[in-house]
Amino acid sequence: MWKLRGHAEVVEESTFLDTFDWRLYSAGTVLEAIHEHDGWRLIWRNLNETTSRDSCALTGLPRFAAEIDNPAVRKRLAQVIGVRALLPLVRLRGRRRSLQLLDVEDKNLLTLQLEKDADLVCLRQGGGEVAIPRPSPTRVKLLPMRGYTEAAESVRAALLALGSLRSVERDPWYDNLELCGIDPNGPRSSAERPAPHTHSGAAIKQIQLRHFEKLKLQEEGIRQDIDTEFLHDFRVAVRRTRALLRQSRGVFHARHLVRFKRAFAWLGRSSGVARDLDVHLHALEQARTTLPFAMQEAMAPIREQLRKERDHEYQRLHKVLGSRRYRDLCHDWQALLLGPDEAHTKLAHARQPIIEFAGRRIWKAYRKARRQGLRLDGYRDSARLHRLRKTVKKLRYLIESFHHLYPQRAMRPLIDRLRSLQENLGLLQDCQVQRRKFEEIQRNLPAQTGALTTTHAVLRHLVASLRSEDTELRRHFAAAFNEFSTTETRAHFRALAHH
Amino acid sequence: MKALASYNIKGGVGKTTCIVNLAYLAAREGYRTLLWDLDPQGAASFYFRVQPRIKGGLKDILARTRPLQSAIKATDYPRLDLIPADPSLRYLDTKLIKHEKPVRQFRKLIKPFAGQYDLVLLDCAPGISLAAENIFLAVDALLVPVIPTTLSVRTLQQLEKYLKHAEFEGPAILPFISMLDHRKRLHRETIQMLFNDEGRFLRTIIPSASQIELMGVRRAPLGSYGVDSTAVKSFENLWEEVRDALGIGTPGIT
Repeated sequence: MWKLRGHAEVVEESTFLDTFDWRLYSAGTVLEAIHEHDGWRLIWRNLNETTSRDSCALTGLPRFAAEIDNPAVRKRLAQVIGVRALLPLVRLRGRRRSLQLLDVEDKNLLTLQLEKDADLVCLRQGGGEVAIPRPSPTRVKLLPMRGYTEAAESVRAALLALGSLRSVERDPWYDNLELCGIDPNGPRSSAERPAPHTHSGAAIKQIQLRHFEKLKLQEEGIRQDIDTEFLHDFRVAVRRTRALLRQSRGVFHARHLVRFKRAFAWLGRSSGVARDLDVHLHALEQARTTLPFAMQEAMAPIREQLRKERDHEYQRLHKVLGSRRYRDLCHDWQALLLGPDEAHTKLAHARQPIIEFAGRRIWKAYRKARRQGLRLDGYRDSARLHRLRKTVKKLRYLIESFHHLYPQRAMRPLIDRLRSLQENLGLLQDCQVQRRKFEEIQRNLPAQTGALTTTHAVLRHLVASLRSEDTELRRHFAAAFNEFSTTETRAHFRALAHH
Repeated sequence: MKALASYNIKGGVGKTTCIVNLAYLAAREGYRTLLWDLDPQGAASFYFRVQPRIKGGLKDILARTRPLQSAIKATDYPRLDLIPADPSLRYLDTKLIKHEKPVRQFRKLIKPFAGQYDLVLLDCAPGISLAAENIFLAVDALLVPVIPTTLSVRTLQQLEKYLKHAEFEGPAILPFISMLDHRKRLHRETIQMLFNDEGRFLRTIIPSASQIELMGVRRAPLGSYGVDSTAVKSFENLWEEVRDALGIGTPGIT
């Protein structure tokens, strides 16, 4: 015996959110921030499902996972989106009425939600909000409760048997995005991935064009300072470009190589400090959560100092992105990449199949890294560790540029073995840079702000933690390098050169 | 995933009331919570208005012919699910004894929930039995409500002694004062004596309150129907203490 309990109709606005790189959609989920008369709430559900996998109350439209008050939901969301900003895609306005199907014990078995859309506002278009009238017929959404699917199935069958309703096959989320011209699978790169036997000259241009498109895609996010990942991805694109340029002697003319190597090095330098400051601020936030409350408050002057420097560096970076030099670099680089291939080139490697070229370069970079690592003592040789880190990074960028040429099973073990070493070296570098930065703030803070004694205590604590982390990472270096340099790993890399 | 059982050798000490409210508060705070009603009386199932019945009974679950997952029912509160009681729980010990490793069955049964839930809570029947031993091996901590009376304190001592001499490494014991009646001199004196042993008991004291008794009429956890009472506050404090003891993070720390 079932009965229905009705709730009053509400007017609500539902804003769909996702990150710039569609992390929520890629995880097969949809995130909605719903605003109605009594406040905000967050609904996170799987695509093509109606019941939520997570939900909580909100104080407003969240921009980052960190802004969600509910600690457990915040943590789970951060596991998917990381530090990326939540960008509003579409806002749907409409009316909703809920009916609960209850059993004899008054236990809720199923919620029927009657929804009627009024209009749709496209938010990811740039140039203001565009409202599209969208009066829809009433949609009946069934929200089954776990363990009571039989009730949901019976109601669904009974409703369809009435003949006036039809079943929805596709999640309405897709339709809303489509109406706003938003494609979650786009934009696609205009450059094809080169086939293994394409001549190196043409193939490298295609790969570089993909890196260039990735770089250009980040510009707007950096200008608007949406989140820190835009600058991170921008710098990765610059580094990949530079790593490939270094290997392109005999593919591009020497005069082009000299010019663009220099130009991309300038771009790397121009964005380095801003990125470091992003990392310092992130590390400070991470450290905050491990400190007692009184010490957390004393972090404010450190954060303020880092923020001030970051804002200054971002302004400088915005100037770089708006400069003539940057515009010319982009224009000329694109023209070179899109320009015709020289059919009768006399350049040494331009006619070599890309798979041969790639395999040899990766193998050479691996041998160099292995040689460098075998010669150093992780506890003492900081300069050599730094050199090794750079070589390993270059190797990683080469693998990332060429990985599609090989079967995934051939690349996976290489990337896995490289990753733990790269992580170890990267964290070690971050530790050193952060320690130097906190020491610098410690030296300058009293004169600049008259900082409290607790702030100094916090800085001493941070520096000491970074020192012990440094020692710990150096202790782990040997194990990470051993894995990278085993005979088996070497054989894997060698096989690429003879693929 | 952390597992916690509300347990006492003695009955009528407030085990179910406590675990039902903690389950609700954990879920409200965002933790994906599963409550398993292991008491054949089915009081936890009653509070959540779920029929005390599992398809196939415990027999099928223990024989692995039906997964425990299939017995899960959503409660009316987000993130809070329940495995209801079943009449066959009365014969739990006789069913457990038939297994090759009779004391490890619960541990094996809740293990697969690791990716799905942050917290698994068990509402246990009183007494020391094979089922109780299963619980000791399956959970990270035992939450032990103790009424400040001689007999109730005595059962806590029995439990402590039992776990001290057990062949396995037992769970942490988290005793707390339950159903305190300030008007009773015995209660006041017993508390004083118990709190002399610093750190043995959780700080929170759950009073004997009519609001708590009304849960049975409302058939809902205390904090869910907008009552702002001392009892609600007490359970919130207890949850904070338990959450810290389990090490599952505090608000503000991601």
